[in-house]
Amino acid sequence: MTTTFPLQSTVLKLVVDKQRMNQRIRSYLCQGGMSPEAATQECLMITEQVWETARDQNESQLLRSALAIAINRLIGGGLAVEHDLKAAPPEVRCAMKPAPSYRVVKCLRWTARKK
Amino acid sequence: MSHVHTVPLEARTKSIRLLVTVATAIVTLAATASYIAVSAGDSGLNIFQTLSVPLFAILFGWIAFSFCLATIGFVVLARRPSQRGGSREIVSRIAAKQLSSSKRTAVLMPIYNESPQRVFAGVQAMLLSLRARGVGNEFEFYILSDSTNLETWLQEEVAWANLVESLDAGDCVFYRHRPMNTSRKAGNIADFVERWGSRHDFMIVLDADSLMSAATMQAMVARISADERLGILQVPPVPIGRNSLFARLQQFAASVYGSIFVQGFSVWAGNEGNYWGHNAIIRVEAFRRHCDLPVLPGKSPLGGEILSHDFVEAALMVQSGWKVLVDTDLDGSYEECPTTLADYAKRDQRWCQGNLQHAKLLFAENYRPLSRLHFTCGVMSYLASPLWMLFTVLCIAGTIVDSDSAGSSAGPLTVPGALMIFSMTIALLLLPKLWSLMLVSKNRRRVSLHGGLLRLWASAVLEIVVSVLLSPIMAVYHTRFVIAVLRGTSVRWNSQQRDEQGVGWQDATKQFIGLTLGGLLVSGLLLIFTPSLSGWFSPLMSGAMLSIPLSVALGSRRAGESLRRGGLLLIPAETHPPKVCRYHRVALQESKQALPAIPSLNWFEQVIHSPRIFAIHSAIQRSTASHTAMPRHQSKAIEAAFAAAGAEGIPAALRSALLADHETLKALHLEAQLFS
Repeated sequence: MTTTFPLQSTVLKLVVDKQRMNQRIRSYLCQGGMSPEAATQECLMITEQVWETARDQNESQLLRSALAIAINRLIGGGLAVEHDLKAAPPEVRCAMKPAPSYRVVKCLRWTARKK
Repeated sequence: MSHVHTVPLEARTKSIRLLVTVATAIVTLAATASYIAVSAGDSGLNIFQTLSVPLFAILFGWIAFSFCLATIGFVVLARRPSQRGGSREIVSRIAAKQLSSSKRTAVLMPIYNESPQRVFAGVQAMLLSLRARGVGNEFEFYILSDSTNLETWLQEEVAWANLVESLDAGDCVFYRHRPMNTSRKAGNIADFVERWGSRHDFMIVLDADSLMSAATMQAMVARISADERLGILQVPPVPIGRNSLFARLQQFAASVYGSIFVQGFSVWAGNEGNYWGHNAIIRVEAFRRHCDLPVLPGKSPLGGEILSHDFVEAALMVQSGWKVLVDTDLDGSYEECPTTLADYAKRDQRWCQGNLQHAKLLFAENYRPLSRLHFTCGVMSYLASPLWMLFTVLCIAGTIVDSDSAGSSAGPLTVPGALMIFSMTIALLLLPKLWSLMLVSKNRRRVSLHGGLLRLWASAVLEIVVSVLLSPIMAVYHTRFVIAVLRGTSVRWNSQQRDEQGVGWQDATKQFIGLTLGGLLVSGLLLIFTPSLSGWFSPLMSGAMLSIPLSVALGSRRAGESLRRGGLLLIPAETHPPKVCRYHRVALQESKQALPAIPSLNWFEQVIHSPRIFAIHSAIQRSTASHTAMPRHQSKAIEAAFAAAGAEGIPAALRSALLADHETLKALHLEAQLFS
């Protein structure tokens, strides 16, 4: 990208970076099982969020932050919610009643004592 | 309503038990008296023959007891118009209000390093079968994995996610993996009961290769709902679905002969029946309160944790006043059987140690007498072989001693009395088979399901010949297992090989060369020292001498399939497959097609690199509360290994811990994405 105006160059670069990151995050979410529509929405939100909070970071750092958020979205709500991937229903803990310890029949106990 | 509720069961059961006891005693006493008379001849019993008498009584009593049970079963079935009623008809007779419990019934499939394709094909088939019947929402499936093989574990997760997505079954098919398989299958079930048991009144316990039709599952729920004292209802499974010659022989035998034995056992045991570990429905609360297993005194292999849990759980239920029934009028209960002799022996080795452990329970407090008898039967099913071997050795020694003293090579067993004892033994073993064949033969539909009358009887002859040849092989195996257990050798619990790979000549030779040479040696010695006995022992010695080719032939899928094409060893599940079997076949084909030809990464590497596999694994870990943070130094070591050599470089010993540590795994996954 070339331009005579440094300010415009910076803005354009940012736009390109943002688009690239958008694509990258969207691709990740889709590969993770999210539907294309949901992934598009999610990646826009993630990119905006990263851009707002971490402007001073370089592209690699921005991507790392964005991917970290995408991973959490994917496992926290994305895939699980979309496909109802609930591996188990809520637990209602109720312990097994412990077995009484092993004891031989009385007559054998009596025989053993006699010996 | 189930037949068991309409008959005055207690009185009937008592009469049948008395009958079986008296008949077994009479037959055994008569045979033992004959044996003594024949062995003694004119010269009296020598020391070896004297020692063999109690063994003869025990062994003959054992087969006489089985014979009596089969005879009772034969009589009951012969008087019943249709031998196996069919679950569909039975369910339709049950009032609609009894069909549904207020809670969904849990269907448990405990698995341990099994083929994920087979496991989930089974779940898919049963779910589709339930949905086709309109009762899909009355059941919830729990795949309870204890798999220790990481690759199998991760494949199970993906197979589960695929199934849930493809069948939209997120609310009724669940998956849980235990990081440690504490207390094996019994611990696996107990873990379910403690975590989710309160959500269910009943649970149907399956095995990894179990298959049950919707109508049968529905009928089981209806029966246990209708009888508030019923703790366990066992529906005997029949083996299906395999193609090797060995498997097809077992399938045929179970289909034709199995029903009279099971029927006899059922009416003899009455409310104090047994549980075979799978294809049964259990009242969850009763199980929670009474079925925690005691730890046996002493060290492994006979002491410690109970390995064969099912008999003990049934005994604990009965002891606590719950009924345990074996229902024989329901069909639609299936399992798969080992496909080779070696696999069969491997399975038997596991069961042998578990059953011999039960000997300690014979002398434990509080069990009901019949439960002790069930334990005895379990022990005898393995102990009979070494006793039989010992008896054979004593017989030969006794005959040699007699021959020497008489100065002739002809021992006393050449007299017609010996032929009578031999005939009695053979009759006790073969008559139940004959009766089963007669029962099937009089039912036109069952005959056609087995390929027609001629093929049915030809298949039976083939089965009998092979079972005679196999008996010495199994006897030697069982004897070795029993000796190993008594010497304190523990058994490694490997999962079964459920694929049909066949047996190569090299493997068969390695496995059976000892037996072959032993058979040749004993035959030679018999011919030299007691030629009079060699004729008697020839069928058994033939089995030993032919064990290598027999093992190869029995493991052959081609041999099994060619017999099938010839209409031999056919079973109803093949000639008229029920819906659930058809669904199962399709699901298996689909899962095979879905497999990547050569996966570029193994499943462990995929969980780090692939967003989908990682997401599935993480979602499962989160929703089953399976997250366990690893020590900091371990996670540092893993991160260093990953940075140096990628996922491949992560030490095998740390991989399992890594899969349970969500944060470390997430960090690696993030790194993998950044550098992909």
